[in-house]
Amino acid sequence: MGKHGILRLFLAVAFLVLGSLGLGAQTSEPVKLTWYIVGSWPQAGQEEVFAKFNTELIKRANIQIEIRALGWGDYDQKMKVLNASGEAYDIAFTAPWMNNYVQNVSKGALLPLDDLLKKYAPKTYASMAAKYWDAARIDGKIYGVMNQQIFARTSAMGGRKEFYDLAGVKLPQYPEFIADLKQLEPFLKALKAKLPANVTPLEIQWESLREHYGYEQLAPGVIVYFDDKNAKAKSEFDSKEFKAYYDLIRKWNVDGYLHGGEWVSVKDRAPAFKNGEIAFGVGGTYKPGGDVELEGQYGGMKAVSIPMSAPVATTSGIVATMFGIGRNSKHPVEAMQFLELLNTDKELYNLINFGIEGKHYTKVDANYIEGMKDSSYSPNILWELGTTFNAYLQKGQPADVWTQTKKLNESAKASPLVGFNFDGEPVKKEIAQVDAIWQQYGRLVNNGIGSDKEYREILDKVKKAGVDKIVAEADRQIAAWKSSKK
Amino acid sequence: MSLPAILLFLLFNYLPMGGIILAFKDFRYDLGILASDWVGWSNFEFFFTSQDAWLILRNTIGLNLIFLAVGLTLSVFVALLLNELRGNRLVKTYQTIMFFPYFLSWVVVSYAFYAFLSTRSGILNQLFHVLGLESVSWYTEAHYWPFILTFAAVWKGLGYWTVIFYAALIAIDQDYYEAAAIDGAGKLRVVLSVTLPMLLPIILVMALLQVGRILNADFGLFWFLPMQVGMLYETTQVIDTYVYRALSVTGDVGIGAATSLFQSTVGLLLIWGANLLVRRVHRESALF
Repeated sequence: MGKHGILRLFLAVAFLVLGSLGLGAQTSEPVKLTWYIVGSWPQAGQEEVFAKFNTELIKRANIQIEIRALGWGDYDQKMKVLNASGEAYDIAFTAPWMNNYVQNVSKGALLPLDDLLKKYAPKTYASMAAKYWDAARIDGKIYGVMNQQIFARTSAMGGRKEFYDLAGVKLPQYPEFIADLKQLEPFLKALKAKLPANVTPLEIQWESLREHYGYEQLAPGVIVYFDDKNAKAKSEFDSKEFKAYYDLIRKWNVDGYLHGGEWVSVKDRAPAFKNGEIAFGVGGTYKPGGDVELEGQYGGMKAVSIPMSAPVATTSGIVATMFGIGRNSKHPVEAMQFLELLNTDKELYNLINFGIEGKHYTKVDANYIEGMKDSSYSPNILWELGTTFNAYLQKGQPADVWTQTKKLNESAKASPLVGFNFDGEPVKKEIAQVDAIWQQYGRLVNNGIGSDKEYREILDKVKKAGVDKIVAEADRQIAAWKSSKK
Repeated sequence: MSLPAILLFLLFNYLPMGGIILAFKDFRYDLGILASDWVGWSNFEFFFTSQDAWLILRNTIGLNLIFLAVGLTLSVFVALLLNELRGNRLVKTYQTIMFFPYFLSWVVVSYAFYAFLSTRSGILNQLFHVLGLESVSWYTEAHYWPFILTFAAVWKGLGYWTVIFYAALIAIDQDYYEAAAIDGAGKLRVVLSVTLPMLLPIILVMALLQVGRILNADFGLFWFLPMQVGMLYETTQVIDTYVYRALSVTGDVGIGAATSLFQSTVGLLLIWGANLLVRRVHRESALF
């Protein structure tokens, strides 16, 4: 190697070193987070949206996020395995009904967030009243950040507007509601008479009527009535409400309002609503502007939604959708900063929820958007990914929909147990057994094909499964919770 | 030579046995396997205090025994028939056709069965309709299901078992057949006096291995085929599906571990007991 050779080598090395230093000085490596979410994933256009979301996120906070978007059927199972194996993840969706919040906390899967919240997400923390945060507290600590939305729960039924008009029988509109299921009978009768023979008038579920019957469920088979000032736990099935429901649904099946035996088994309800095999379904919660959101469920047809109870604020309604930070997260600070952004940055929120403008939706004016037909990105989970109050309005929604929602939240009657979270660990054997019984008989009850024999079997089995033990445990925890509040 | 096999065995079969301690622990994610609290036998209570425990055990053991008896008899019979066929191509064709269901997943099979059994649009009920018979609501009547499940299990496994027995059959020395022919034995005589006795060891070994798994139900079969209809649980609920269903609510690793430890222990005892029996009757066929 000659003189020039050495010189050249030296220069090359110098350039390399300087070059990398120069780069290093400009931007530090972005912090990488992993984020588990649930929904109708995968969406065809998600790679593009997620990439854009990341570009924006790096610009704002130098955070890069790997979005692990799982389908409805996979999420719960997968999170159980992840938590049990102790895999490190940063943020995950958690709720009473999906990736169970209380269970996660009692088994030590989530980090307490009180300090992180105050320090790194002050705006989010200030945006919700203390009573709402209290709902997320377990033994005094907050383990999840709620997505602001409709907190009040209102039993509801929904269906295509064309079927509603066809029946020609008026049903109560908000703030009126169906106080007694029997009020539905003239409507169902008209539906049955006027619908084509292959369309079933109604699909109904006992599990969706808790507010209608005026109680909240603490654990499978155990409830507390809203108007019970002492908040005494009771057996869910050994109640006059369950008996009345059981008998009424049997009658409705005989009258031909339900789908009967065939449906007990196999068919999925979602596609049946979409293609109009079932006219009306009981489920979900009534919310202002909710008719527009329902259209997706009914194959894009105009929909109506009818309230079946007064709005009630319950713990499970308030913490219905949350994000928790994993116990093994290496970047809890950045994870909280990310949640602050998701809840305060309108642009980010709308990007992850609606996709890219011009590609997945078009702007009608400053606030309103319209989704593209057959869009490759429409997860339709506004309530999961950040606060809905930042959402663009969808065509058909009233302009003040979010104000109305906030008002409804405030006006809702509070359950005596707001802020109480039941920990099922001490009675997990009993809970598993009671739940197994409902899994066995639930569809039979909801399709009205049982007889008195099955009714007695349910009561008998639930009793033998130890429902009284769950009731006693609930009473004990409620008493402890009450005395801790004083 | 056998070192890799031994290593694999240690790694995948013996090392994970350490997890058995989970059956006696209240597993918490943040404490981990070793540091979680010991809870004695309380994880075992869940299954044994279930009011359906007896029913579930009956279904698991009873149906497995039926599958075993019917499956074994049929596949030996089919293997004998195959052995009578002359022409390799024909044998191959039959084998392939019978083996095919073995490769299908239970999910696929369950929908194929649904096409037959669906109440409104099922092929069977339409056939009944043509014949002027009442249609049957297959998915709400529990008493049909032992038959349906047996049919499905045998249909799916037949090809696999037949191959094993057929392989044993063609390994039988031709001299025996020639000797039998010289003695003037007919077809049936040959089967009874030559083929079956020669086949007995392998039949016993296969049966022994299955007996050890008598408490382990084929999860896919029992989960997917009855479409998880509650009204069929009386005859379709088995240990594996019950535990899965119950624990998907509480997600309790300890109870799951305890139940499967129970299944394995009983399996071990059964194999050992059955082997003892075989040694008495037919010493050289015993496993150990």
